[in-house]
Amino acid sequence: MSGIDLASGFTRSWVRLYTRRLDPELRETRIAEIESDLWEHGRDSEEAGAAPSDAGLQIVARCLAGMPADLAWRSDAARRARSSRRREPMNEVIRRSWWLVPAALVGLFDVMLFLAQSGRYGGLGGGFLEPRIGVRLAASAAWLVFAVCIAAGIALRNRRPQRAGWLVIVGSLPALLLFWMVVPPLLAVAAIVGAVLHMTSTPSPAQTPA
Amino acid sequence: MRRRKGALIPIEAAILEAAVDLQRRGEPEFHGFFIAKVLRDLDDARRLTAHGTLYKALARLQKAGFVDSRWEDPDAAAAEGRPRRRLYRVTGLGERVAAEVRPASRGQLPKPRLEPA
Repeated sequence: MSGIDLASGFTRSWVRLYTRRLDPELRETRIAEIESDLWEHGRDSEEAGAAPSDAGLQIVARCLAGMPADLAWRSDAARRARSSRRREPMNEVIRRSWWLVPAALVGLFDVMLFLAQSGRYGGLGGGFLEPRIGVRLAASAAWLVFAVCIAAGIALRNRRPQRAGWLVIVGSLPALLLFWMVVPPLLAVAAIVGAVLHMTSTPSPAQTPA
Repeated sequence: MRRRKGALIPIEAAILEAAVDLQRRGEPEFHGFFIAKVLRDLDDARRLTAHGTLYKALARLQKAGFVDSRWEDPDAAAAEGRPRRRLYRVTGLGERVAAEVRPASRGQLPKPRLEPA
């Protein structure tokens, strides 16, 4: 591994660190721009016949010297994002976030099934759904996992919209199996539809900015 | 460094002037590393402008409407086996502002700095 590779790796790690939790598009734009800069720097040094170690030191020096500006840029970007969120009209918030309500309710339903299956609450559990203890414990763990999936999906909805959508879908699907209960499956359908719409309407951070 | 709201700091003025010069020489678009090299050569400096300083300045110039940018065609980058470049171009407003700041800095082009902007 050459000095340029090491320096580029260091710079990449720093960029990923200081752009964490920023708007995904802004983050990917900055990452892509620095990636291009690193590549151009490496090629330029190669063409100039510079030693890889010297070029690597230059890259690290550029990264270190720019850190205060990077942090100032991050702070400004985060402040602007907060202020634009505050200015967002209520109907826009509802249009973008309505699906969180059914998703949260399905998550709550998953937790209730976890409690019922684990039998921790006497009357609610203890053979309510499945008399065999092994199966009951497995089912109980599964419902807990589904609830955690939904909670993680809700928490990640802004930072990782695609992953968040899939987590909510995975966490909601099992509720569809309990179709005779009517309300939970309907909530699950709503949560899944909302998650799919969220995934399709929010750009993936993995996409290079256009 | 404290700045007046809307005022250009030296690195921003230097980028704008260098970009206008490039435009006059028939190179209307530039990418970040390229302008860092141009600034280094203009100033006869040893070091390139720091990443953070450079891209923060470019972002601020774009926000002010002095430059705009586009991502180059992915096929062009793929053909050369390199990442896509973000290409900047000076706007009409940027040209006018560069003309205003030029007399003040002529013969003493703002020095690209490595300190935070």
